[in-house]
Amino acid sequence: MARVGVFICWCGANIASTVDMEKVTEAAAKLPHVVYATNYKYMCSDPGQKTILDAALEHKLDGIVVAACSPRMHEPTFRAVAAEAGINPYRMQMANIREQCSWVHGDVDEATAKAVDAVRMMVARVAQSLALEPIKVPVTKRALVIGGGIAGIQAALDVADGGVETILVERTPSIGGKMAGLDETFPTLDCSQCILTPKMVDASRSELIKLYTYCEVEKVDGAVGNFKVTIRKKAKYVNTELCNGCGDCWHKCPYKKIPSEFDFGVGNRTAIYVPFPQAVPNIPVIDRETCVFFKTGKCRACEKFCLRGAIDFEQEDEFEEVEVGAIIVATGYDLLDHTQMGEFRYGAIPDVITGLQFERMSSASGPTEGKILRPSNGEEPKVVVFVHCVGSRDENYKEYCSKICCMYSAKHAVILKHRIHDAQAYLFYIDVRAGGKGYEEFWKRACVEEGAEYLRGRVSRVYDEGGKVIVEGQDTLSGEQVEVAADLVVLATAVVPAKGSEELARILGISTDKDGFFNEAHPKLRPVDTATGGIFLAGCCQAPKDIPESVAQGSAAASKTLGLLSKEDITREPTVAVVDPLICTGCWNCVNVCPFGAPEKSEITITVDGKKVTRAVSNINEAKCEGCGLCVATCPGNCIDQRGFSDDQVYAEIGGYLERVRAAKNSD
Amino acid sequence: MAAEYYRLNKDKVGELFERARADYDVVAKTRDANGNLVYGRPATFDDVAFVDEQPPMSAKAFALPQTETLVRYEREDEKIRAEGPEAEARDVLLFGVNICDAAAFDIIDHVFKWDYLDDPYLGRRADATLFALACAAVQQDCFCDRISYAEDGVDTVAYPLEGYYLVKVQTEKGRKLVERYHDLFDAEDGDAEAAINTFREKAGTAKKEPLLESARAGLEKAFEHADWEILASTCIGCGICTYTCPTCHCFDIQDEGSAIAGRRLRTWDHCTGRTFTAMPAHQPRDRQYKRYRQRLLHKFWYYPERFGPLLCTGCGRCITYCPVKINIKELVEYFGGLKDTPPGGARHGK
Amino acid sequence: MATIREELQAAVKKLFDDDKIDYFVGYAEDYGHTFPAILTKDSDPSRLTFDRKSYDNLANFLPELRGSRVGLICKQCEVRTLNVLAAEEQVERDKLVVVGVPCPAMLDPRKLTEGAADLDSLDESYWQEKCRRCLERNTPLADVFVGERVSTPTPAEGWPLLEEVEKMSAEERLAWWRRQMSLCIRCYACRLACPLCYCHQCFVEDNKPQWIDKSVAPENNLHYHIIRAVHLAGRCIECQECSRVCPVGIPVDVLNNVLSRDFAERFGYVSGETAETQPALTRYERDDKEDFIL
Repeated sequence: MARVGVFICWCGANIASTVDMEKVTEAAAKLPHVVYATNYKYMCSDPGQKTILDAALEHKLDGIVVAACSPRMHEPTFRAVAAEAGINPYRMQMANIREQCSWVHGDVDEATAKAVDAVRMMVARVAQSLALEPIKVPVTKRALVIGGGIAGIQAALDVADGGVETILVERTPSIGGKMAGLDETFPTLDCSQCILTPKMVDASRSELIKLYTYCEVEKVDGAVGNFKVTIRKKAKYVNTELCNGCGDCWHKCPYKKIPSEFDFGVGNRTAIYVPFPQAVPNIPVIDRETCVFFKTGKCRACEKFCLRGAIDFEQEDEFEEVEVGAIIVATGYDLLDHTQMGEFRYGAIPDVITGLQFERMSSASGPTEGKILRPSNGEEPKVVVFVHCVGSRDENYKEYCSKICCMYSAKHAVILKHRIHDAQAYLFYIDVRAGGKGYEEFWKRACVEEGAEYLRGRVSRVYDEGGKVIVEGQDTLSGEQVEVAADLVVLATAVVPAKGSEELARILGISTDKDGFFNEAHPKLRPVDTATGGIFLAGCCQAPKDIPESVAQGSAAASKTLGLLSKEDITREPTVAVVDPLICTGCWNCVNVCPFGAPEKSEITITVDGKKVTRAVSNINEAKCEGCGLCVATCPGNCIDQRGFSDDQVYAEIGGYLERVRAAKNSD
Repeated sequence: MAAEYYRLNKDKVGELFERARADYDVVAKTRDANGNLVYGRPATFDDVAFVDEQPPMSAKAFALPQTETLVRYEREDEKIRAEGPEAEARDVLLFGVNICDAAAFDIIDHVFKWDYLDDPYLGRRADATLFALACAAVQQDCFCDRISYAEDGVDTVAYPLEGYYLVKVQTEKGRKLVERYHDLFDAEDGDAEAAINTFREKAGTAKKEPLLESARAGLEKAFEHADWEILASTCIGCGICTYTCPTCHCFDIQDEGSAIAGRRLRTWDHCTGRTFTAMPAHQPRDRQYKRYRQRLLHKFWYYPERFGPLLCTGCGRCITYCPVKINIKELVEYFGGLKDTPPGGARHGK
Repeated sequence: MATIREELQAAVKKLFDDDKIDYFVGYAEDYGHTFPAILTKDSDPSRLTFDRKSYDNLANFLPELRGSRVGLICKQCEVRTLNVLAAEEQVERDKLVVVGVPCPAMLDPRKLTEGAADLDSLDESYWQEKCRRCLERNTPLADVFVGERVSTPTPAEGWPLLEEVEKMSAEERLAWWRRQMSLCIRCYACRLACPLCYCHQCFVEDNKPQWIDKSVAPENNLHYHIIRAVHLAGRCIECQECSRVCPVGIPVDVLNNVLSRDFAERFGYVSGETAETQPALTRYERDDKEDFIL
């Protein structure tokens, strides 16, 4: 028999007003294995903890049940008390008689009976609990940042600042992300590129940051502290050692009418290109899809004009495996695909554009050199309609608020007024969300000082007529139908996770929410962590964010990463799965279902009938196991058990409950 | 006692059954939900199958139930209360049981009263009267003619002759049964033993030379025979042969319940199963052929060595119901040196 | 013309003579029964046969012979079993010589009466249910094929007994199962005859914790049968050996059939249909149907 002490907490009146403390104590004292039971007003207080310590020594306890609040609240507290008393922390169990009992029940008798059940279950469980020791795994002191936008750049700079080598993977030819394409930024109207490019240069110059541009993460193995990451280095067809970024190749490329991804189609690029003049690194890539040579086998103009012989049409994708201890995911966002939404006629009417296209036009370094022009005829627009919440806050598309659109639409209205003084901006909005330092003041300025006309209502119809784009909608403040004959319509389209996010989530073994944004471990208290140890989030891949928030989260993720990598080894929860190799049949169901790659194919040699027989069996890599229990439940031969949640423990716990059913049956 | 002989008219069997139900807990062959023959407790003679055909399950469960509570316990606070089950009060009459099933009880009695008196078994055994029905023809795979087991412990045997049953009474319990319903029985004045012998010759159940006993000397040298591995490896390790066998009697003792209340029970177990001799660190019979070999040698060597009779009445159920049709008789003959050719032609050859 | 028996015996002899196999697993006829036999080079192949009482799913004997080179008679039942076992990495296909046969449809031993006439001529009413559903009578992908190929009749659809049981009201159905379960003697022949039940330790053998009481009682028996069926969900290849071997005649495969039908309807999945078929339950596809998940 075990020697279990039961400590029942009043939680002031939280528990004691609904659960009869004395009755629970009395019942607990009579249970098998229990040698001591008591109650106290606040078990988590110093005197409460001392009660446990003293009783543990006096009664030679080897197991503890604390009947109190949720283990989420105080399990660490009481585990520490157990350890102090010389009892293995994993032989301490909490019976939740607050959240799951006193708070949700009114009847004292029934709540008391339920509390007794909870105690009985946990006593039975503790009696079956094995002493567990934490698992220690050495840490690889290197970090990986996926995504080279502002959040990723900031994270990489901060990690490197902490003295840790960082690999920054970016799938486009240059780091910089969406911010590199923006014009001025709200609410201060400072130039986006002017503040970003120094950071880009810092990143490229840092000895501790290795830039992997035009690269993608192909595969991730391992776990916190020790990830093995396979990076696909897409063929650039340019020898980066030889190229000096002179630009001869892209100037000579005969194929110049390729819509530029960086400019969202507002401008064009060549087949060999750098996405924008300030690109880091300033090294072009050949786009195999549009290059004439790859299509027809003829041209090679770039090769001919490259004085350094840097063009290499023979290049192929390469794979490199890197080892890192932590991963920061900063893959950013894209805009909702307009082909889903017919009502705004995006694509059908050339003068209907997105906010990001407007940014490229108004950017001084953009394809129009900062001139805002109507795509249809290249004339200056005089009446511009900005539509908020295109696809956001809309149950037909995305229910969430994209957060940045109110502010950038206001900014667009201001920029419009600055560039075309006689232009008039109309903004259709649902309500204006301007929570942020200086934000409220900024949109008021747009309204009051810059004369932007805010119309509260949704747009019902957009059509072209007589060279104008007619926008129909309702002004719900005046209750009137509104019709604006616009020269240009700018849609504040919903922010969605970057393309490929779902695939990346699968590769990383992290989860996404219903909209495809990566899930944080806790919405309030762990907004930077994912549920997978060692993987952190920064920027819009977690939820729509503006620049300061993305930068803040990038720094936060870097701080988390530095914290993790500052240790020589990391301590992992010992509640991992363990295989009984004697009964494992090697069917590999565990290997198939494990999201973390923890079960590994191994062998065991046993003696049968006097002969050595080698069998293929599964073995759990403790450094990778997250203790999710999937393999435990899947194993058809019941060969896998989970420490701390063993079949014996769970079965004993259920048995403890069933005693009540049995007692009720007997009294009938 | 000396055997006595009576005649029971065939049309009186129903009346015997109905009247016996007043005095005995009567067990007889009947049909189960799937139409299979089974020993049960039919309520009327209409439901009785008074036939010589074997049911898949032998009659042993009436002395050794498949699952039986030995003791119940309950903990109240500090005290633990334990009590055995109440003994069943009524006498049992096994009505129309096959001789091979009936004769099996005498064989397994040895083990239940050997070093320990097994009260639950012996109590039920003492309360049971056997009214056997002799087979008019051999069953599908039976070989009772090859085994010289004793039948004189079978209380009464009814031989179906032309127009009537010749009832041979062999024990006091049998005599008591006939006396209770004496008006249904007539005296037999002919040469009853001669009639029985003729009947058994015709039925094919007359004892031939008891060959299987003579296999023992060979079996005692055959433990290490290389062909066990090949011939017994088709055994899948199920419990059919032992559970249907009238003489297999191994059981396991198990506890069900918790630290607070429950029961200790015994339930049939089978040596052909892979957990039978499994210990935490070691399984001495670590391959299936060793488990099958244990069953065969226990029946034809170890048991007779300790108690005298073979642990087999030749009923043949272990062949008929075996999923892979392993034939114990053929294997005894082969490993006992009575036959040169292995069943199916399989030899290990090493 | 050589009979299939002669062809088979010659083929087996050749496999041994050419040193292609260490063991041959087939059927032998002796003492009035056809039964599985494991032969070595030194065995006498003259009792080998393949007839309409070649019931056993021979793939069941492969675990015992793992590591050796084995020749195996494969009907469609064995072929489907091998496909599942291969997907679960339980057989070494390169060590296996598949001896193909034309399957004449197996007879249902429960439908055979004593001294039945010429077994070869018995019609569909004497067949095992599975044979009516057979997809291919001639072993596909056989390494050696013996006998004359036969044509495969159009496979029958549906599971007649399952449909009959499902027509019952809930109360009737429960009563029916209770009656069946009261017959069960827990010999576990259904589990052990199943070639896909290959665990070294079955849940019924666990005792810490003891998932299932050892006492034989209808509720415990049902508990066992349901878990057995669930462990075969998406795996059972409907060879019906579990029902054939039951000494008390419980049609336990009805439980398996419910699940097979669900897999067919929900996922369009037929277990062991091809050598490429992957286990259904441990695979996750993003476009898996979820419409039946509440």
